[in-house]
Amino acid sequence: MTMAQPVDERIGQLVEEIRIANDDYEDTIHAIIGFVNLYLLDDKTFQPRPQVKGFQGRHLSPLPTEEQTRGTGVEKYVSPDLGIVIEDSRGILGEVKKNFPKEMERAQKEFVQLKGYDQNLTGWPTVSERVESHEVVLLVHQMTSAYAKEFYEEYLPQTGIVFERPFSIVEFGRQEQVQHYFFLKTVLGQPTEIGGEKKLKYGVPVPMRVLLHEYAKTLLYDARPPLPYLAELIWRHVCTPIASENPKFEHLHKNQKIEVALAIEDIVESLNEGFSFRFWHSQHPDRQPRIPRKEWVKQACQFLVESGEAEWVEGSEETQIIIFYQKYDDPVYHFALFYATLEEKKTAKPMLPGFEPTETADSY
Amino acid sequence: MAQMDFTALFYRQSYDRESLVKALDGLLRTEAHTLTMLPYASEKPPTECFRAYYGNRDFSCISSEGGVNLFGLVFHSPRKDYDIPPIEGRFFVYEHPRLPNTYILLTIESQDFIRRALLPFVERSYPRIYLTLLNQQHMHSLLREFKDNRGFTDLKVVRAAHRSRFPGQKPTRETIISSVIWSNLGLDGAFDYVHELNGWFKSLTFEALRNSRVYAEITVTRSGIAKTDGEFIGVFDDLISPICEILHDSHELFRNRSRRDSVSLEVRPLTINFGRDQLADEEERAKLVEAMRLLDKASMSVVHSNPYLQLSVIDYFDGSTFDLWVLNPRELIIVPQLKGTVSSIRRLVSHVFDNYAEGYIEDFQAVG
Repeated sequence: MTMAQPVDERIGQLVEEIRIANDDYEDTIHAIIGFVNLYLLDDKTFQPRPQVKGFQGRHLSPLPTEEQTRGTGVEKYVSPDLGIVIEDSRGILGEVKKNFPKEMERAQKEFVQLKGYDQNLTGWPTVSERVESHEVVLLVHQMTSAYAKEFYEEYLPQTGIVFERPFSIVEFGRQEQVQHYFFLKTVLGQPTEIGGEKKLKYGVPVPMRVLLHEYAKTLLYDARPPLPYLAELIWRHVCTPIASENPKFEHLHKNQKIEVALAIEDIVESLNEGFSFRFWHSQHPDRQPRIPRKEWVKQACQFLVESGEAEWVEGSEETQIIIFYQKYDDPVYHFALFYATLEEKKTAKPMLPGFEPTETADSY
Repeated sequence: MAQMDFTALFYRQSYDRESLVKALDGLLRTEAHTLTMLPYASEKPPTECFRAYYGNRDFSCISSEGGVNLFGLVFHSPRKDYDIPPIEGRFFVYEHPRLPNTYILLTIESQDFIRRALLPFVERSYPRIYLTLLNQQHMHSLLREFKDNRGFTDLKVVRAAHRSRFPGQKPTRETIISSVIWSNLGLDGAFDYVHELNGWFKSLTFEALRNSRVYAEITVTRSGIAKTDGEFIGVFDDLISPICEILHDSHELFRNRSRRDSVSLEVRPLTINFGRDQLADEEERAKLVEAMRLLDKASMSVVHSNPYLQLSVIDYFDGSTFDLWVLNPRELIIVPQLKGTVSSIRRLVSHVFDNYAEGYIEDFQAVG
């Protein structure tokens, strides 16, 4: 066994962890789309219901807090993963936690966050910015829904957290029959359903093809994506179209590069326009944060700089970047591997007591 | 008494669409020529589409009127150590009178000119031009209708280039073998033969027979390129025209699929419908992944492989990007992202047909 093997194994393991993190991020987006569309779309015709609005990441302000902080410059808000308004009067706020934690402390934190939604809030996408009533829902993957239910029933009373509004837990997963379905089922409580059929109690399979249009254009939500995931999105969807306008693009060899100059602001706008939940918010764009956040994009660009794939434009104070565009066979794997290699270097342990890994040592 | 040079005379005339077709028919009746026809689609008019100087080729527009353009092309051999004379030739581009963005390139020049000068020139015009793609069923029914409409008793396949799929060393990777056969099979027999071999024709050369008399030797390729040494009007009306219809339909189907084509950046997916449960098990999906990895000048990433399949592709010809989804065993869904050009979609579909399985291309229906 050579000394290189354990490093390769560690990098391989990190690449796999990145793949899982990317999966979790996309699964969360699919859960948001799946659940909100139960309300947005008619369950027979799959046509939009005009009386329903959906939103993601909207800033809603606790009523007393807003009154207290008015004029002080302090901004306090909650930003649930998903929100639904039915007939401008009833609301649902939800959080998606794909892997509900087994550890008590972390589980409690999730409920503290959910409790933040269990109060009078303003900023709803209605004329009055308020709704008559609302409820709270937790969405968890079917693999961890039992932990969430158990925590709620057995441990939550000991924490002093009590929900005043209706609270429910809905599990999600995928089903493969003749076609692939996204599956939603209530495991606790009884969420409002349009028509009141209690379908969620027995499980609702939503054909994935019905939601494909939304899956294909929604790759970001208001939580920070894994760094290699965002770097790859920038590479694929922002850099490639610009690089392809260069006459050299078609005949560019694998080891050649095209310089693509980009402003951070333009990257943010391009991804926000094409790959966020923006299309849900066209009628009520206020209180919607711009996703991806500028700092995430800056961080992803910094990762490209550290990887030697880009450099900041001198004097631009990290607002403009030059990316050295190359044609990769598998960009998703490429950026995962780059990230894993950088991480492995950062966390590499000394090979012998007293020996610290150095750049010189690495270069050997 | 000096013989009349009909070819020189032919080029001296100027033509509109109708007179060109008549003149070509007359020429094939009086002189031993093989006429090559290449239907293509393009968003640009021919003069703009082909106006370029490509490496060793000189290109010029000789005339352009009445929907007919005549171009000259000269190919100079890049080998400087031999005194090789340039290859020179002319070709017409016939603008389809009814189908927008549809053209037929026609030439009576030698196969040497076509092979060494014209076809590489056309290939270099990618992605500005787009050739059709005939699947086996299309090809078979097209030829059957041609035979019936022109009253031929049979089309005897004398030469065919075909490709067949065989199990490879890895269960997920099939080996594709190209071969050429010389046969005396009738039309239906030839298609039965290639079906038995789990293959498909790249090109077919056949004799058009009425009883035992040969009226023309005709070749048709999977890309819709045809050549004939006779029966021009019949070939033009009953073979090239239907190919133009298919070309036009698929061009229309593939157009405006980029998300950038709509203000709201809408997604406009397509599907390849295999007509059977082609992707029913994991092994088949793995075969598809392996096949997609063979796509030349492109990147391919597996985003999800289980339980559903999702792949991401970048076409390094023109920067088009696609997501491919398998959400049921009958179809492969192609989602063009911000940029998805006609040529790139055609290349992707062609690759799936050639390296995985054939199917029908349809507009994606979310419900149904």
